[in-house]
Amino acid sequence: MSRGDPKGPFDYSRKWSLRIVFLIGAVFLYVPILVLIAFSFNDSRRGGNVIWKGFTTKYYAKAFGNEELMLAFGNSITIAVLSTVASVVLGTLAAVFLWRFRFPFRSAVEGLVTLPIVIPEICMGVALAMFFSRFGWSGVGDAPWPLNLSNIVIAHITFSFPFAAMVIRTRLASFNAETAEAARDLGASEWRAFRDVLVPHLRPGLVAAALLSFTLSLDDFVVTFFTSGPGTVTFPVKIYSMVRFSVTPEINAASTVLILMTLVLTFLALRYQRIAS
Amino acid sequence: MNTTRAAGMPGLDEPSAGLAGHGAENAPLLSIESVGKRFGAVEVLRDISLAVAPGEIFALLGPSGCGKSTLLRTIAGFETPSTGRIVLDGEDVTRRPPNKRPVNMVFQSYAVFPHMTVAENVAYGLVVERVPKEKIETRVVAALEQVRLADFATRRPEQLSGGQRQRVALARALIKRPRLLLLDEPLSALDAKLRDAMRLELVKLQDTVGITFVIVTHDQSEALAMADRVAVLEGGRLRQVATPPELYRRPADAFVADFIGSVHAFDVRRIERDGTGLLLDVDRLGQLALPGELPAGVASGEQGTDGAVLVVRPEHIAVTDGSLPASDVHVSGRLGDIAFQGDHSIVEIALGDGSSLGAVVDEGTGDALQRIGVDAPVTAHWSIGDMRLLPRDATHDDLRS
Repeated sequence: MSRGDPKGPFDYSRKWSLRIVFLIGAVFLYVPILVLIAFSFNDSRRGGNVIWKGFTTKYYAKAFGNEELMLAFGNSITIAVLSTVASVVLGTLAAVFLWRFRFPFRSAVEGLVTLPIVIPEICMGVALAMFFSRFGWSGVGDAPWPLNLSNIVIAHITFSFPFAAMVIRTRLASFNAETAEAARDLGASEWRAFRDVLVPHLRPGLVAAALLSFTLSLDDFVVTFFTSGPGTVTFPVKIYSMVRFSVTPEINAASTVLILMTLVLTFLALRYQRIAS
Repeated sequence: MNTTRAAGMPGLDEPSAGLAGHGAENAPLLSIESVGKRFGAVEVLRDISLAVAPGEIFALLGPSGCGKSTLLRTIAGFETPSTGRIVLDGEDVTRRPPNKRPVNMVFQSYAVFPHMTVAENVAYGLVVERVPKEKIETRVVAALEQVRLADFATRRPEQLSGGQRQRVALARALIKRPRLLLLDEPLSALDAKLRDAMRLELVKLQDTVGITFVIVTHDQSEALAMADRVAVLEGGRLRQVATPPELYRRPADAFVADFIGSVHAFDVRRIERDGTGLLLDVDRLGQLALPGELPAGVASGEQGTDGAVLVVRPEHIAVTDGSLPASDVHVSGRLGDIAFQGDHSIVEIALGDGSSLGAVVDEGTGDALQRIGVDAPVTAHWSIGDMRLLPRDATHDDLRS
């Protein structure tokens, strides 16, 4: 790769204009996150303070010691786990149903399933808030855990289930239906063939759908804001309310933990997928 | 024997005809009794009845879309017939799900489970059946040896060739010891060399395991070479059931004659009885006296557009530019292309109105014709004994009634 080489037509990596575009993209994507992480270790009282005052981990201790923040964090994880399980199960059922059967208005049903993806989230939030209050469901904040989160879980399922269904549907397209028939032919019941042949084929799609549902739920703000009550605050909603008073390194620390968690989860999922295939 | 058969129901009484050791005297293993199948407005199978004897290789042959695959899937249990019954070993299995039938299938795509090893694939049917582990192991080893895949037990399907995958599918089905093995286009996905080898191997395998095979194929040479008996299907209807030599020598109608090998068909305008034989008025050939009775499905008198045809096979046609036996039927035309095929050549004779006649000639005649040159006037001739009077469609009568 000496400089004297002529550029090939697809030698994009050697074009300066493209290198600059790439650099700008990377800067806007990752520098804010890196700054956020770096300043979670800044020994300053204000997180927005861009002056480095020395290394400390005391804000991590503070964040973990903040009972309200920890409660919100626990709520977020609970909601994410429950809505992910429900979304993947429902998404699989919907995808298999749409793939397997022919019935009138099938494309209409398919559109209806995927519609929540394009509906503005603010509208979903308002609609769900009105729906829950109409049926007296918004007052469940005092119910025992995890029932107090039920309306938020349901709200999260409504927007993450279509994504799960889409991802699984895509994976289904590459399924050789004859393998399921072969399993039936060899003595497997309908359910056994589903479990032994279809599910193993769908596995990468199921993992992807679960990851997507989990992260969608974990960082959702708009819909959650409209459906959460005073007793059922989630992590993003809590952070928002804390930021309204002042940005402290504590928030940086909590966010860093969240980023780390998603990274580890994604890494594990990818690793699992590689082992499975 | 074809000539005495009831018109319009080819195949029903066929097992008794020309079947050495098979069929009528033994109880059939599989009987398909007036099976029909519709998908919405489309009638895929129409009133199909046939019987498969234990131990035979039975082929369902027909062009694509003739319903042969649907019939096979009906036997396997993946489709339920709209009318009729399927009786296996004396038991009505028409409404039994595929996992409850003593029938196994080798799919066209082989349908090998991609996430399992070869051994796991082969073992699957026994695992589902809850056969004890030690027994599964010994049977899997035996099954893999039978299809010569013993060294491939731990391989994954993506590491196998097409032929090897097919053998996995075969072992996976045979390990269940089915009463009937169904094979959907078993050779179509293989390349030509492998196809010939696999064809022999399948016949040999059937011989050793003694399991009845039902094979679906669109390739007539495959059906003729492998099967003990062949059912020819077209448009969802059964045209004829017979042994391969019978199909070739005594086709039930013009479709079967042209599908098994090929024929040139001349339209028959009029048929009259004449003492012991028939007097025909044939398009292009004129008046001909044909010995013998009226074949099934053909009526005497004026012939309409769906009436009888007189057919001759290319291998019975001789070509000359000189004299010919006086008794022979002949047409004249101009010499067209000569396709060299090694030990024989296929000669095209243009008949003037755009239609042409194909003839199979030996090496010497081919060379001689080559010297005469294209466009030279020639005469195609053959013995009247090589011609057969056939209905266009033997299933036609009962449809009209």
